[in-house]
Amino acid sequence: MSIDQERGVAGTDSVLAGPPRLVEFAAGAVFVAIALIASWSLWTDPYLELGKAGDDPGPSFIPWIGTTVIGLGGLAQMAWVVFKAVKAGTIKTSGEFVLAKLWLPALLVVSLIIYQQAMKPLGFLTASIIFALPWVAIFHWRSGGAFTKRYLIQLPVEAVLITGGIYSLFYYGINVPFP
Amino acid sequence: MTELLHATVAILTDPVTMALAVVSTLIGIILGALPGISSTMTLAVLLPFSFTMEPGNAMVFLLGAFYGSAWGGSISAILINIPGTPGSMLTQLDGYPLAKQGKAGVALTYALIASTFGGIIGWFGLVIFAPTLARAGFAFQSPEFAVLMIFGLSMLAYASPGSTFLAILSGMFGVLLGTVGLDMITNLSRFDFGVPRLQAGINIIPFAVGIFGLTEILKLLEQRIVTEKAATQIGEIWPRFRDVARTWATALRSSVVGLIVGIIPAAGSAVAVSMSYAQEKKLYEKTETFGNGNPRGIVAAETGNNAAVGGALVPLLTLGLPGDTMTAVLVGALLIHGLQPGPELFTKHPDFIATIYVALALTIILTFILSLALTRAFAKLLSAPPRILYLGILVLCVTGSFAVQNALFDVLLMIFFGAVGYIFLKLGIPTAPMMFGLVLGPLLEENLRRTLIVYGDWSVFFQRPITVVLLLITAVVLLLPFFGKVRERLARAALEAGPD
Repeated sequence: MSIDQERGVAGTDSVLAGPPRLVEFAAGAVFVAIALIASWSLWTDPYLELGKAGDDPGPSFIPWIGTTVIGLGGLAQMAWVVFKAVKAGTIKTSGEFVLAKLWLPALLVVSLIIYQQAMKPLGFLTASIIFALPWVAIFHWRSGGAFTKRYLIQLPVEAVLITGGIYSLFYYGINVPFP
Repeated sequence: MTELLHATVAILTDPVTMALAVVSTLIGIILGALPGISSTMTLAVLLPFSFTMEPGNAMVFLLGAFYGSAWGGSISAILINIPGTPGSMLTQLDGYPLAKQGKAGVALTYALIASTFGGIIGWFGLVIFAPTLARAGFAFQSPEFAVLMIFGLSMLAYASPGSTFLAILSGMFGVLLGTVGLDMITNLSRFDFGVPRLQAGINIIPFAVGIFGLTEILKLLEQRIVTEKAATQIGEIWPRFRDVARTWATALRSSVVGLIVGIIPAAGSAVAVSMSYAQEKKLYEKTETFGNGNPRGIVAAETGNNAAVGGALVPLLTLGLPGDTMTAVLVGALLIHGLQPGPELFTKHPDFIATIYVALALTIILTFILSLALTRAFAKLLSAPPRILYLGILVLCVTGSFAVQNALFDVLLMIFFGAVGYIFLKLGIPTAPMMFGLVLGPLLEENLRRTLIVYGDWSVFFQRPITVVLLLITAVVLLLPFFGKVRERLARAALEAGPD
C-alpha cells in the first residue's frame, strides 16, 4: 500500500492514527465486482480458452491477467480497510454518498439516458432542445440565479440558441448525419 | 529541415489551417481560463471536430486547444485565485497577490511572457530530442515495446494523484476495457456481453468525453456553483523591461526543469511547475519572499508549465507513451487518423512530424498575440453566466460522442463512462490511469503476444538489456511508495523514541 493510500484515498486527512473510511472499502468492493463480471464473461465463453494456438497464449490471456489483478487487488484493499478498522475499533463514513449531493447528478444521468433514447423518435434537434430547457434552468438555479420574468424568456432562448448553434456546427460544419 | 520548411509554408499560406489555429487557440484559452474546465476536458470535447479534418489540420487544431488551455488556466489563477488547470496551480501563489495590489495586467503579462519563453524552450526540446529518441526507438522490438507499455502504465499510475494502489487497479481496468471487442489475432470477441456494437471495441472518444467531461459536470452539480468575481481591475498591462529582464535566469532554469520533467513519461505539468517553483524558492530564499506577489514566482511556475508541453510531446511521438491525460487524448486523435505514434512515424510521415513542430510554434506565437490583444476581454469572460458554459459542454459531450461514428450507442457509452467516472471520483479511485490503460492496453497485448509467438517463452524479457533496465525501473517505481512508508514509520519511531 502506498503512502497516499495511508493518507486516505477519498480524502486529504491522514488516517495513520485514525480509522479508515468506508469509501476505501467500497473502492475495493467495486474492483471485486468488476473482476467477478469480467471473469463470468470469460468463463462462460466457450471460445476463449488459454494457450490454444501454439505459443500464442490466446485472446483471453491479457483479460485473465487483468481480471486476476483487479480481483485480488480489490480483495487486498478490502482486507486492508477491515484490518485498519479492527485496529482502530471503528470505520469512518465520508459523507460522499448522501441524497443531498447525489440527487441532481443522478437526475442528470437519467435525463441523459432519456435524451439518448428520444433522439431517434423525436430527432436530434428536438430532443436536444427538450433536454436543454430544464437543464439551463437548473444550472441557472444552482449558480444562485433568480427566476424573474426576464429569465422566463431569456433561459429558453439561451437553451435553443446553444443547442441550435452546436447542432448547426456539427450538421453544416462537419456534415454529421443526425437522426 | 526541408520538411520543416514545406510545413511552415503550407500552414502559413493555407487560410483554413490558419483560421483553425486561431479559433482553436482562442477556444483553448477561453475554456482553460474557466475554472472547472480542465485542458483534458477541453481536448476531449473538441476532438470530434477534428475527425473530418486531414491529419495535419487536426493536429494544428488540437495543439492550439492544448497549448491555449495550458496558458488559459493561468488567467483565472491570477484574476480569481482559482487555477483553470493543474499546471497553473502555483501561478496563483504570486499572481493573485499581485492582482490584488491592482497590478492584474502586469501579473498577466509576466505570466504570458514567461509561458511564451517556456513554450519556446519546450519547442526546441521537442525538435532536438524527438528525432534522437525516435532513432533510439528503432532498437525497440516487440519485447521492448511490451515492457515499455508496462513501464508507462506503472509510471502513469504512480504519478496519478491519490492512492497509487487504486491507480494501478484503475489502470488495469483500463487495460481490460482495451481488450473489449474482437481479438486482432484470432478474431474472437471478448467482453461483448452479447452486444454486437461492443465487438468493435470501446472508442476512446466517448470514453474520454464521459470520464473527463460528463464526470466533471456531475461533480459540479453536487453543490451550488460559485461564480467568482475578478478581484481587481486589469490596470497597467506592461511591466518595466528592467524588471522582466531581472528574471531571465529563473525563466531559463525553470524552462529546462519543465522540459526535462515533461519528457519523463507521466510526470506531467503539475510536477513540472512544482519542481520549477520549489527550485527558485530555494535559490532565492535569503533575498526574496515568495507567495506575496513576487514576479519571479509567476515566471518560475509559468515557464515550467509551458516548457512541459513540448517535453510531453517527445515520448508521445517517439514511443507512443502519453505523458499525461492531455497527451493520451492526442494519442487517440492520432490513432483515429490512422497514425500510430512511435519511431516509424518519423520515417514514414516526416511531413506530419514537421507539421506538428510548426503547429506548436504557431500556437505559441498565436497565444502570445491573442492574449496580449484580448487580456481585458478574457477577464470579462470569467464573469459570464456559468449556465451557458455548462449546458454548452453537456450538449457538446452528447453531440461529439455521436459524431465519432454517427452512432447513438456511443452516446450511451459516454453516459456510462461519465457515471463510472463520477462513482470512481466519489470513491477516491483515480480515473486518469483508466484512460492510459485503454490507450496502452491494446499495444501491450499486441506486443506481449507477438513476443511469445516469435520467441517462444518469457525468458526473452530477461535476456535483452533494454527490457531488463525497464523492468528494473518499473519494479523501483512500484516499490517506491512502500519504501516511503517504511521510511516514514522509521522516522515516526525515531521521533517517538526521543532525542536519545
